[in-house]
Amino acid sequence: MPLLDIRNLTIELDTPHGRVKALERVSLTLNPGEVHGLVGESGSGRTLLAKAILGIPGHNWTIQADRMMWDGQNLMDMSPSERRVLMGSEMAMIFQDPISSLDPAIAVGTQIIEAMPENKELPWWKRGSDKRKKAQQWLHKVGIKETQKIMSSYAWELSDGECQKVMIAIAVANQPRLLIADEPTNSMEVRTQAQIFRLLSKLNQLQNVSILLISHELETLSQWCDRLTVMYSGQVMESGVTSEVIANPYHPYTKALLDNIPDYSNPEHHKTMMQTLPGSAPALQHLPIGCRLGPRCPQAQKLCVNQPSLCHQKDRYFACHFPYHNEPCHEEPLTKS
Amino acid sequence: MKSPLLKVNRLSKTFFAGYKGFKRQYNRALEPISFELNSGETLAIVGETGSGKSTLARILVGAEQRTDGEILFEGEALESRNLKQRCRLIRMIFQDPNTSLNPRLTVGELLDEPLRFNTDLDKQARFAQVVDTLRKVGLLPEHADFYPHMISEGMKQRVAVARALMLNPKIIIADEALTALDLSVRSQILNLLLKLQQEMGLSYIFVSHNMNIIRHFSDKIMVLHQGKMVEKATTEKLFNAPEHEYTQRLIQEQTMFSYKR
Repeated sequence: MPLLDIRNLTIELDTPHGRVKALERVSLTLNPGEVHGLVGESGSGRTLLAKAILGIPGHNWTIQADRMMWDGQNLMDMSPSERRVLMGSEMAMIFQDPISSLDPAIAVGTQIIEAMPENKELPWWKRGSDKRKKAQQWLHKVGIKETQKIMSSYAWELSDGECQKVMIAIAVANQPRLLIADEPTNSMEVRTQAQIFRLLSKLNQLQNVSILLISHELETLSQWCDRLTVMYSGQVMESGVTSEVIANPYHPYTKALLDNIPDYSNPEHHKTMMQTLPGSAPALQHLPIGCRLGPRCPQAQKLCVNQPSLCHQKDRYFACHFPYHNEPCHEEPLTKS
Repeated sequence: MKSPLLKVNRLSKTFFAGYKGFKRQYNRALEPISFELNSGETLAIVGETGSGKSTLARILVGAEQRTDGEILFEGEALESRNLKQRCRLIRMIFQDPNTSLNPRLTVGELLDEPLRFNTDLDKQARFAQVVDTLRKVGLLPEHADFYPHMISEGMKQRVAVARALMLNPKIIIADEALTALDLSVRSQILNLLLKLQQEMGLSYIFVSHNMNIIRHFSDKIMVLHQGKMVEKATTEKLFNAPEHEYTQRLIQEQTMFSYKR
């Protein structure tokens, strides 16, 4: 049974320009123990999806979904207080900017201890020291050597990488089953990035945490993820096992993304123009109808004004009327909503 | 022999770091460094944070005073204080297009400013040049009336490129100009830079830590490590046979990140 199973999630935002579908019919399946990558450009609704999974909606959101199952329970039916129980203990999230998401006025150690559960088996006078010890262990596990020093320092005294490690320690201290990492290595150096990713994959292997890794860098994601989901402008374009998606992309957008990574195997391609899609991603107020890639897509035809449904073929999902290397599945076209 | 477009001789930079007793202490940010750049070439500067690559870029563009050494442009020395002369020859593209454009000026005014301060052209001639440059970077003349918040990120970076092109410079310095951009926007801007180089014979000095892009884009690479130049070679030579240990590690990290098709 998948850990997280989302079908046709639609999030509408109330904006001054009227109601906008920021996410449209997004489907996502996450199996226990896998690292799932979510690729998309900025503004493609990745963070919205992560927040919707975690259950921290904004004030102007309307969330609809056919199904949103968390390990057999329907998240849509739960009350906010039940969601709150899940949040932090079963699911945890790492945010984009580690330094600003930690409290600058409280020492880092206090913040870690605050987030940790109490060990009810111990008598109450031993619980405090037990927590402190556990916090140190967790910090040690995420690769911090001088735990005492880090715990007594403030967020602004630490470097980017250390802060992110502390965030990860806070997130995994409750031993969640799902870790949502929203651009965990944004604006970090290559070496720190590698450290953080190694740490995440180690957690995945040792603690069996499933990870939803959100990023815009296809190069890094393709290395660390078992499965990839490609999003564009609030719609899922393609999903599947990473190596297959990269070796054999069905969707024009995935192909375009892969073309954007310079290929230097052939020295003749040095300093040549790269293939890229014309135009830019549509703004939220001017979303095209049907497939949102339509106006930029090299394969687009008249049919593309209807949104293609997500086809499922041999462990691959794709939403396109004219996929590469494959036949589109012939289903009833979705009625225009 | 023709002299190179830009020649840097033993350029170095120290920062004042306070007193120890009564003695002034200095941090050495950049050890003496020399290199050459020919027209139509791209030089990439690679290194981690704190390696002095941004300092070098800022000295070249004139945002920072050098401590020692000289910069020769076509055989002529560039003085460190003569910014008017400098900004016509060397211009810069910044990292984040969202913050490097003044939000209170329209795109037209933004592009007009360098002309207003550095040339004696009248209003019509300036506007004609603004429109001309906007066309060159793939924007429309109508975009001159837009404010930066009204256009997308890719367009903003195009405007930043246009602003760098304004005074017909010979060298453009791009300090991490592509790191903050999305993949598809990044390759659009990269294509634009390549096109401009072919058309106008520009030289680029390209500061970055993404080895993938550098390998595609640059002719020569200079590796900095803690203010010292570790290695300088052509792109092919550096990637196929890195000599220094630090370069080898950098390239190894890069291959770790790049996927195999």
